[in-house]
Amino acid sequence: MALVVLLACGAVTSAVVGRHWTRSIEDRRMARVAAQNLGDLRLAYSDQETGVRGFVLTGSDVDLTPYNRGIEQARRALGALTADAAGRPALVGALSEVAVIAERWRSNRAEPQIAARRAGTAVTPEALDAARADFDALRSSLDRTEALLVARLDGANERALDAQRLVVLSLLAAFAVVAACGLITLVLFRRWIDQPLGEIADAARRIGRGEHAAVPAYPIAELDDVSTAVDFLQSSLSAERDRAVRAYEALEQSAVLALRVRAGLAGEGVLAPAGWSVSSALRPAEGIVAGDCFDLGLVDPRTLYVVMIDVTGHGAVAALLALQAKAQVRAAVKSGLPPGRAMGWLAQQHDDARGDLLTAFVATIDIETGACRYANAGHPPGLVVTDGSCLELERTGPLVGAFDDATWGTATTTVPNGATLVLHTDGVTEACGAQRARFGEDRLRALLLRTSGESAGTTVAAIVNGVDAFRVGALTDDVTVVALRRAHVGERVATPADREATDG
Amino acid sequence: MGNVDDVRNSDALLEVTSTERGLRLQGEIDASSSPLLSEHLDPLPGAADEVVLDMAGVTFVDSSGLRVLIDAHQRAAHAGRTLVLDEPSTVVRRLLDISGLEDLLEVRPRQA
Repeated sequence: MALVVLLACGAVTSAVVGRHWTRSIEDRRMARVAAQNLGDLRLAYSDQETGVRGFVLTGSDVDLTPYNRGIEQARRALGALTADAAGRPALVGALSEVAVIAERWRSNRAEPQIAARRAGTAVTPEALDAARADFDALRSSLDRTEALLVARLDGANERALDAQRLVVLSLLAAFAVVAACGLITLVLFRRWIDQPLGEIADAARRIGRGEHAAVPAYPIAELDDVSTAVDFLQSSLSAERDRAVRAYEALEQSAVLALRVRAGLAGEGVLAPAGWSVSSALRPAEGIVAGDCFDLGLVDPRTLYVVMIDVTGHGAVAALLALQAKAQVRAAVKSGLPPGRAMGWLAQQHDDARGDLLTAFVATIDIETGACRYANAGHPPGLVVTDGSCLELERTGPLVGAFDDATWGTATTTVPNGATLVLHTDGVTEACGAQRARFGEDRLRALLLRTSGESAGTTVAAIVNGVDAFRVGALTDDVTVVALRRAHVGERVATPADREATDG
Repeated sequence: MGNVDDVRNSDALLEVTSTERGLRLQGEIDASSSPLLSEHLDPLPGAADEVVLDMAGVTFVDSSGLRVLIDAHQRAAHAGRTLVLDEPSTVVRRLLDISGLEDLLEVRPRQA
């Protein structure tokens, strides 16, 4: 508001000063024109006087020409001066006096002398002196008029100079006002805008470094909006940071738990008994834990057991269920239950309400004879691979969790010397390749026949590598393989077992 | 001839068509497509004693698909109805056989 008033005053002042300066300049110009006209008037009278004197001497009309021309010139000049003198009584009076004296000289002196010369009458010296006296009076009157015009011109010049000084002063004042306004604006800008912005920026930097920063309120709405937004951002960041810290801590705890679960899902480190070698692989489809698990151990010094479990789905929940099932089956087998009854025990412990399904293969093997008792609960068949043959160990009951009245039998077979018992989950046979083709049982059997006679580690690696080469994209299900090879009679078996945890 | 009820998108693995007796299935039933089948089986389609799933066009069923079939079987049994798997392909029959469901579900093989 103050700025608007200031600008309005400046505009009015500029207009007044400008007008005053313009008028003073015009007044000075008119004064100069009047001085010029007075000069012309003086010259016109002088011509008249010269013409009369010449005519009196010569009697020639040629010599009378300046007189006649001077009359006309004097009339125009006097007219212009009289018009310009309007409103200036002293000058009007002086001009009237000039006109009266000039007319008196012309009618009383000049015209009678001209008439006398035309008539051939001599002009007396007294008449000449009287004419000279009248003309001197005219000169004196012109001098007084000129003095008035000079005074006017001086006044006009003085006023023009005053106006010029006023304009300069006005310009200097305007400049000073503008400079003062600029300075005030700069000070106010720094106080109201720059300084608060700096404070907000400092606060934002402190927030960025993770420090707490107090963000003050400001009287200017826009700045206060920014300040409020930064404060809100600080609150949000603080909350997000707290959540992130909690998530990190939870993740840290979960990671430790997941690693323990992962270690539990794979068979615990058991030395293969003399004459046997073991190899395994477990690859989760998601993360680092799977819904598959396996277990290897000794029921007693003569009996080896192997368990493989596949829980529907994959990820952490399936892994925990698989781990639980593994512990239950191990307990059943170690307590001396045959595999089929161990499967029934597992089904009894299974929480049907959860709706989880699992398949399992459980086998106990006489270390000395290779006599194998097994149960297969809806699991892909175990395979006994010998040179040139691949025997399927078919199911002895359905998958666990589907039917309340299901039962599982115990079947028998033998793992001969030089043969390999291979267990796998459906993640192997159902691995998806190009055009959605499945790895399938035929491809698996062909691969096993090619590696028959090789070590357990070679067999497992061939299966895992074969699946990796076949599949397109990520694993869609957990892949687990266990191979137990019974050595030929007299064959040297590396000890400890070449159990290779190639999982992950 | 029924209508195609749901084909989620051009990449859909499973096409489910309503029939007079139940559903006609074509494609694969796996973890990504089994929710679609589950939606069509809850509630069970039709009102006849048998809920017939035409499985002739199904090329693959994984454990998540088996879980949906078992769940439908149990709900059908609870309602006094029977879930019938009609004319499953050789591959699917092998999967049902391995899991032990072939003996427990009503499976009607293709007529010779």
